[in-house]
Amino acid sequence: MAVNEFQVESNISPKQLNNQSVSLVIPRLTRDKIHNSMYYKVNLSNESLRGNTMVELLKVMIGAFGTIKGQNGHLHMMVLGGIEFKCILMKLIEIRPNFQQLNFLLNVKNENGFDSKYIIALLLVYARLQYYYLNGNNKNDDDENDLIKLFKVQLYKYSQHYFKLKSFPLQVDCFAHSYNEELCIIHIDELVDWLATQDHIWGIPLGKCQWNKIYNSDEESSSSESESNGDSEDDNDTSSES
Amino acid sequence: MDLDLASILKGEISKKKKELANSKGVQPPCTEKFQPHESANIDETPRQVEQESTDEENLSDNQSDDIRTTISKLENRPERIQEAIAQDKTISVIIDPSQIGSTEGKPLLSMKCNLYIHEILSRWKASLEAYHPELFLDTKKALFPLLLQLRRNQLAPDLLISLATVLYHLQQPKEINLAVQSYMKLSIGNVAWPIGVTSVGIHARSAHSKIQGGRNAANIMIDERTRLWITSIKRLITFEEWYTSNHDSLA
Repeated sequence: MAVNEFQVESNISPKQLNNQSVSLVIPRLTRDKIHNSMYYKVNLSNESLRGNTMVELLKVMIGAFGTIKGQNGHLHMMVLGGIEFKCILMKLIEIRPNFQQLNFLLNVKNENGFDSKYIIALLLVYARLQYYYLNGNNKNDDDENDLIKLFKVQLYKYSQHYFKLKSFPLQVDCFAHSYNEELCIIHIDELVDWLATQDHIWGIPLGKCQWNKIYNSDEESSSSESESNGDSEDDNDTSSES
Repeated sequence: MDLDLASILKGEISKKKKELANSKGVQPPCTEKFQPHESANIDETPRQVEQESTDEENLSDNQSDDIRTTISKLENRPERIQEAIAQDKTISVIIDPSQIGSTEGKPLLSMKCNLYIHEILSRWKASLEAYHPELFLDTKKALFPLLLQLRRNQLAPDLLISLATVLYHLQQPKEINLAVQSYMKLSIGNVAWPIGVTSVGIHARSAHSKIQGGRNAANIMIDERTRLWITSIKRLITFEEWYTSNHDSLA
């Protein structure tokens, strides 16, 4: 880049993570396309949300990706990898939910016919995008270790599940020039496998990651142990709620 | 915080249920509700079992086939590399303008572009101390996807035509200006560029749809990989201009 060249980006999130803006994990062109799409402007700008916190975004996430068993509605929104999905993913990156919020959303109970499978897929992609740099070397950082444990447990858990999700093919970028509109049905374990092995998804690059290695024998045993810990945490949550 | 999120979650779920019920209009009777559930439950279990068994068989077959193909490819790799090098030596680098638009000469044109880019990179490597050594490695890395697509003849036809035009003008003496103009057509073309204020209100405008339409994007706006190799082509043009002037002055 030239010395006298400068540019002003008004869409960079003010929140920082790892000493940089959280929205920089997505490349510039993809970020511009997401911010300039009509869905983002109408539904996800700060004025439209009437706020800039996870409480407001949760309503949009449930409205777009929550499913009710026995009742079908808003089918055009429930697609992984589409424009709506990428817009909500971008907003999630800009807001950057904390550990309690992530833990709550990843362990939502499906009551009264509510199914949160699309929200879980969104959060798995978000974790892989945002927190790719985590490693377990720093023993003094308890927050980092908690995040690694949570993400490993969820990845291992959903690599054993088989529920179906409507999605664009995982190697297709919906903003690409030669993009053909075709949908397919994928299972959640295919998505987890892609997140654990590939370096891009739906045209968004994924950083090199160390906590997504869930296919080694040592990792499996440690993940299963942490999974039991996760179950105990769930029990604590239920007791606290009651 | 969890209690707030839980209450909001329950409220949104009930709200969505009401919306879906209202959108349906007339609700079906309870008896009709139970019957499809039972049939679905009965049908789902054998299908899942069948899917799992077929998936396992397909996985094992695919894995063995993949292993065999990779083994054979690895064994034949030195021979294939030698054959490719021999073929590359026989092909001349000079680009014929009549071949640029034809479909029959597309593979040959693709290989010519590949070899000429390699030639420019080798010249840059030879004069690395005199001209921007810090940019050379980044340029090579960014050009790698392009060179791979050119070798495999997988580049889009419009991109290949524009790229071949740029390289053709580079090969001709004293046509750097035409090369730069061709590069502008390669990168931007005649598409409207998204500049200025883009978020005025919430209503869609005709000019806005022209700028933000998915199929009207310029080549440099396709994706990050394409943008990088297009800017690297500009670096090659600038290097060629410097090399030509220095070569003429030395001669």
